[in-house]
Amino acid sequence: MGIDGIRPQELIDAHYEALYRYAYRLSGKAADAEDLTQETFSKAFSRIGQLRDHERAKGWLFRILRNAYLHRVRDDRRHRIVPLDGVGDLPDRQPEEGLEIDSAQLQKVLNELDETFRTPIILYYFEEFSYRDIADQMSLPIGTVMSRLARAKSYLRQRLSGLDTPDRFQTPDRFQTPDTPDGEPSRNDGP
Amino acid sequence: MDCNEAYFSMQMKGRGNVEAAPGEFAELDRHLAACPHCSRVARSLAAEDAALSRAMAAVPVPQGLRLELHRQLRDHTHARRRMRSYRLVATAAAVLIAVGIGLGVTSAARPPLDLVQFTLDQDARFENPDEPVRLWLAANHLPERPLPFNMALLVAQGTEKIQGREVPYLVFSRPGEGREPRIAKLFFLKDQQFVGLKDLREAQSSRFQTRILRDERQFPGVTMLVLFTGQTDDDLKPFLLTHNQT
Repeated sequence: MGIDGIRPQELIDAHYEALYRYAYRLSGKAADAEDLTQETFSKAFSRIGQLRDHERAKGWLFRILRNAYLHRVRDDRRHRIVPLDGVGDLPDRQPEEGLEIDSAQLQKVLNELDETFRTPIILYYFEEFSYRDIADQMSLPIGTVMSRLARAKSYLRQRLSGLDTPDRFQTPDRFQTPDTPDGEPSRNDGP
Repeated sequence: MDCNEAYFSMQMKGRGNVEAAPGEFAELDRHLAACPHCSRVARSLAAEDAALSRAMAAVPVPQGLRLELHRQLRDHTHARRRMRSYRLVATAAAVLIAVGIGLGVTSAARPPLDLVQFTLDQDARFENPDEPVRLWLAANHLPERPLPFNMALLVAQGTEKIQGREVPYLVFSRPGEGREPRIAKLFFLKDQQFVGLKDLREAQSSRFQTRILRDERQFPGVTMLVLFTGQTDDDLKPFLLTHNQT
C-alpha cells in the first residue's frame, strides 16, 4: 500500500498505456518510449510519498515523464521552431468528414517540432488536457500555451494536408532554427 | 466580427479552453451562423481535430510492458525492504559496536580475574584476618594499629555520614541466643573533625549500649565509639580479643 491509500500497482494499470503513448509521441521511438515509461514509474515509486492526491496522479506522472525526456534531450540541438506567421489568417478550406491521418506520418511531423510545441499538441490531442492542465505541466502562462498550440496546430495541418493537397491550407513560410534571429519566438508569445 | 477574427476565435475556442466564460464565444457563434464560409472552416477544423486525436492515440503499446512494469515494482519493493533491513542491521550493529567499545574500554581498564591469585588472596585473608583491616585503616588515614576486636567476627566495613562528616566504621557480628545475631559497630571519630569528643558520655537504649574507647598511645587523636547489642559490658566481651588471642 502506498501513501494515503495510493497503490503503485493501480498507478501502473491506470496510466501505463497513456504514458507509453505520450513517451512515444515525445521521443518518436518505441525503445525510447519504453525506457521513458519505465524510468517514469521507477521515479514515481521512489517519490510516491510526494503524491498526496490520487486525482493528481496522472498529471504528476506525465510531468515526471516529460522531465525525464527533457533530461535526455537536453543537449539535443536539432530543434526546429515554427513561426507564428499565417496562423491567424483565414484559410480557404472545405470540411472533411471522416478525415484520417496516418499515425506514422503524424509522428514524422511531430518530430520536426521543437519540444516546446510538441508537448502541448500531444497533451491536447492525445490525452485531452485542458489549456490549464498543459500550462501546469509546462509551468507556462496559459496564454503562452494557447499561442503555442495554435502555432503547432497550424503547422500540423500544413504539413499533414500538404502531403495530400499542398495548396489547401495557408502554411507557415519556412522552418527556422533557434540560431536564426528572426525565427526565435518571443518568450511572451501569448495571443 | 470579421472572418479573420472569427478564425482566431475558433482557434481559442478549442475544447481545451475549459475556463472560457459562458457566452464568451457568443459573437463567434453568431458569425458562424451568418457566414457559410466560416461555418465550413469550423466544421473542417473540428474534423481535423478529431482525426488528429485518433491518430495521436494510435500508438500500439508493447504487450509485455505492463508485466515488465509490475516486475520493476516488485524489484523496487524488494530493494526497499532490503535497504530497510540493511539499515536496521546497520543500526543494530552500530549500537552493538558502540556498546562493545564502551564495555571494551571499561573492561580493558580492569585486569582479567586470576582465579589462582584470587584463591591465594582469600586464603591469606583467613590466615591473617587483621591484614585487610590494617589496609582499611590506612585507606581511612587511621593509625595502622591492632584493634582489641576479634577480626574473625568482622562482617562489614565502610563509612557513615555523621554531622555531615564521613566516619569510618567496622561491624562485627556473632550468633545470638535467639534468632537475631549480636552486633557491635565500631566508629572511629577523629578529634579534628568533631569538637568536644573527650566529653562524650556513654549512653544506653533498650537494645544498644555505647562505650567510649580511647587509646592515645595506639590511636592518638581518635575516639573509638562502639555501639553493641546488649545490656551490660558482658555483651561486648565476646567481640573483644581474649588475653590469649592478643
